[in-house]
Amino acid sequence: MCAEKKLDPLENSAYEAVIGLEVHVQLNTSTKMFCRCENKFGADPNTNVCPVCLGWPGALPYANRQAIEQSLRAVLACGCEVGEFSKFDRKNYYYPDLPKGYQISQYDQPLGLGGQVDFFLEGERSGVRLTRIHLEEDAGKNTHVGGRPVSFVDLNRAGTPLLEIVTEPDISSAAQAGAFLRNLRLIMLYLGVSDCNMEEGSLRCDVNISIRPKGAEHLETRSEIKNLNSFNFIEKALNYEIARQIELKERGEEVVQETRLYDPDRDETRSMRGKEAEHDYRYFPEPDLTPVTFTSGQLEEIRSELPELPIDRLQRYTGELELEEYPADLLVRDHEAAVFFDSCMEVYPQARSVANWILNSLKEEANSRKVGISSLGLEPGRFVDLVKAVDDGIVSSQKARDVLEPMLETDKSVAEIISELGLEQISDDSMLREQVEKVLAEHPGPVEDVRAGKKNSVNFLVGQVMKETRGKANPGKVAGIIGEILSA
Amino acid sequence: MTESVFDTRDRIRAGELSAAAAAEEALRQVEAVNPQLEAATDILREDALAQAAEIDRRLGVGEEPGPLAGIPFTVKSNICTLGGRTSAASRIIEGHVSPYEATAVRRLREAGAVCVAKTNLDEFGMGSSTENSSIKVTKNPWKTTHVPGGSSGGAAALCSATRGMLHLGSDTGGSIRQPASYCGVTGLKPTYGRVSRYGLLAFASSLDQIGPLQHSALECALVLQAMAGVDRMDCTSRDVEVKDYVESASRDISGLRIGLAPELFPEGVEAEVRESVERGIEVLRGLGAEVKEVSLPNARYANPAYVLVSAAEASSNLARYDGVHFGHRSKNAGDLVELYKSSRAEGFGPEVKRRIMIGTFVLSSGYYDAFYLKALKVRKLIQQDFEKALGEVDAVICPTSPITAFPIGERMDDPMKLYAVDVLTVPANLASLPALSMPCGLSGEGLPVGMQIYGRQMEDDVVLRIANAFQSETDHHLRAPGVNAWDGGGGA
Amino acid sequence: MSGASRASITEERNMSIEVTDELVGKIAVLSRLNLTPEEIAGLKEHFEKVLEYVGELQELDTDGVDPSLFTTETSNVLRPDEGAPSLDNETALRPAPESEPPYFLVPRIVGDAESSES
Repeated sequence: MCAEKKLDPLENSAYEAVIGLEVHVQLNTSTKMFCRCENKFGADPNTNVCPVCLGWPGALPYANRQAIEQSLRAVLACGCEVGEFSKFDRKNYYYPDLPKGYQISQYDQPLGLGGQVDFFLEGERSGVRLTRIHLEEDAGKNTHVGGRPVSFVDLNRAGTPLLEIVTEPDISSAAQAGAFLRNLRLIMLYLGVSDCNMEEGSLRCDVNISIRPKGAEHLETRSEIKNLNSFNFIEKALNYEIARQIELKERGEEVVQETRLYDPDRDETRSMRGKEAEHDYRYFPEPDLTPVTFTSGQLEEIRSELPELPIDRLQRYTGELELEEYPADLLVRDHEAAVFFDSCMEVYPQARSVANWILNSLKEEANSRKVGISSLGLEPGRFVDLVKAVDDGIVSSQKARDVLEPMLETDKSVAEIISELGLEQISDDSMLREQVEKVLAEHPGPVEDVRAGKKNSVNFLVGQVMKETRGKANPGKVAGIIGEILSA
Repeated sequence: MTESVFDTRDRIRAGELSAAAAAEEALRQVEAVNPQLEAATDILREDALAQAAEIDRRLGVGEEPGPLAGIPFTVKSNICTLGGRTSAASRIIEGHVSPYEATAVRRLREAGAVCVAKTNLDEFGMGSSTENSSIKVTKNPWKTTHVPGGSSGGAAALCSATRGMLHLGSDTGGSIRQPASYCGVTGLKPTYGRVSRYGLLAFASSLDQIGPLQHSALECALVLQAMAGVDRMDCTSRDVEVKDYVESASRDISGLRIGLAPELFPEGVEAEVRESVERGIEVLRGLGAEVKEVSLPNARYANPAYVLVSAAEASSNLARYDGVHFGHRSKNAGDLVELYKSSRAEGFGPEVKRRIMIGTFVLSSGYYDAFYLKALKVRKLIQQDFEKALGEVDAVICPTSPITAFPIGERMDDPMKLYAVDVLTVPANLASLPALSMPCGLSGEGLPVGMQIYGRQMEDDVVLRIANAFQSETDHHLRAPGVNAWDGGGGA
Repeated sequence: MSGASRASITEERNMSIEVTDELVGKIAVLSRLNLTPEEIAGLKEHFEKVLEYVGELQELDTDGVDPSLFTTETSNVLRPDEGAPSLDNETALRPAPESEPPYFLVPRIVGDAESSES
């Protein structure tokens, strides 16, 4: 929301951009896709391997049921068509991080075809169509050390279950790509199927981009950009590439079909090499695995158990609950906060104040403890007691913050804590009047200022009352009483 | 001196023979014939004696080491064992010691059997004579100038020339049955999915199976019983109950219906082979089996379809042999691409290269539909043929191979000549049916003739039953080849 | 990448493929095999023979026949998401022709790609 506004290369341009994305999402199953090695990040190199994912002679794959179930949830959440029959295929090519010399993937009968992901961008709802979603295994990792003519291969990642999500070239700007990706990521987080952590590689994205004259229908030569490690880089790379292609065209040159890498230090894309002759992957059905079939009953059951999607939640918050877009958006983006918020609504349906309290104080507490809101162990019922106390004027907004921490550390009720800490707000009119009159008597100057129309002096006087009462006075009421007295 | 595996088993059980003595005897027999036959690639003396000692120890303290306690066994060198090399007779993994063992092998060991040797084969199972081994050519014990068949030629030759032990081979297009036929022994290719493929170096994933080569159908039944069953490491292994195969194979066959398909007695079948098989069928008739004609109209297309399907799958299965994570790496390689190309060129033999090339071609862009997909459709037709025929009869019988063992070198000038000997065995792999070969006579030259029995899926016991009934009435399976280790020990 | 169709440059029934050096060379590259000139010549001959042998299949009318993609009728043979111990680094690297523990070692990969798909 607060990303710096970059110069948009398409502004006032004769061209439009045509962008398609290929997103890889690592599923967070316990074990790998086709073997029983742990599916985890960060193990010492080549210690999370077995004969199967090492591709040793005689080893065989065995598909992970949980990976397929998680994939189905993602596929249905994205609105794809799921056929009753799906199978795995071998994609044959040679690379050191691919120990079998083929990747088990899906070719012509993937888990999902079509689909669409909607999102909000600058207040407007739009959607990007998907081409397909399929399930495959990840490859290992190659790294090199500068100066030596060797590469190191680590196969820990080989065999990790990967969802590949391909979009139609419906995206027309870097900002749109970013919005789409952020929302796709949210969907995966909502479903609980992936950590979607770009730094750890559980969410990766390659982009295909071409430009064409505005309003044209055809597609021109595109380039592919890889090695994009953050949403920020994706947007920057796209903007750079759009500008680069426009410049080429304006000079009368052609865009070369190639793979480019993004260099974040220089904020530019560089050609990796000319795109080689198309690989001939020689796809054929994987004979070592059985196909997977689903009944419409099973699919219906999964569909009915899907959580509310981010975009639908956003519409509910801003519509039904009348929250402002900004807090609504913040809640939606933090799944745990949103779930907590919804539970609070069942007990105390004051959306604005509850949202406010969650997004400011509760999140702060969670962040300082480095956990998500659900890990705080706070029951929504107790939390809304606090919000209610503020709304009812029992405790001031400022003092209420001091109640939160003891709430998290003890079982005490809100009322108990307020009382123990002596934080009750004074809201009693006659008591307040007494204090106000005292202060007014002590500060004739500011009183004159107020009578003369200087509003700021009201604040000063309110402040003095707060000081006298050691912060316990209900500032709103104090202001009201002052106003009443001085306008009489 | 034991006569059969059952003999070995019973005498060990009765305490008359120690596992160590049985292992020693097996090793003696293997060592006696190997110089002439070159059937074993590794003789695992130390490991075997250690395993046998452990079995004896357990028997000594009254423990139950398993139904195969102390019985020696050999394993084809494309099946992973912990001891010895699993080289698949290929230079590309010449000295490969597998860090894990195949499920089938583990089950035999857990049943108490003792591994004594690895046997020779055509490289990666590709061949019908064992002449494609990168190590050596195995000789037929009936005539050492002739091939033992392939690809399980080492197992067949060794089985033929020894007694009292178990032998594991593998069959993709006839690689158990055809050498069994050429060496006068009984070989079973189980129903696809009956035995786990985990640890079998894959040649063609949808066709491969591990199976036994023995002197009798009952011995085969014993091995099958110990190995068969669903495996959590192989999802193509089927969750079907493992019967008491020995018991089921011992039942009589009166009333069983046997089918003869003219398509499985094509013109290329030699007269002597045809006659032997026909005499064999008469024996079965005499035992009460009903014999009728059935039709397999697409059988002649089985071999061309097999050539395409097996090559395609093999080209992909052998991609992992790239010199990166295991196996041979070329010293001549500059960059990575060269590394792949040189390592594989240096490591693979000519027949393997031919099949990889054909397989790659068949799957490649533009040719997939016309070749691979077409072959799969033909495969479906063949499956349907058998389903229909085996709806009318309980088993189909035919020769195992159109010919008997041929001289070494005779068919090496033209690979197509070697492919031709598979025409009668490949249908079983394409249709995933159990099939067995058993000796039914000798040719004028004194070379064994094999008769083949096809059964319905998962009816391996019916196939074994027919063979056992035949073997109760005949003695072809008891004849000794010229080179053997029990009848005078290591004769010519 | 999407969808089901493979470009088929030959009609099923009108197969006439010319086996050229170029074709054999292309397949050799895809198969990652260095071939000597003699081997190439031998393979050309072999290709022609095999093509002739399998040419018979074109006689069969397979319109409307479902290809036998999987060997048995079973589907959904899947395993629970339960782990089993992995190998240790020493065992994993033991069969490798070249390694620098804890990594496998290969000649430097050209291009900056960190992972597959290049």
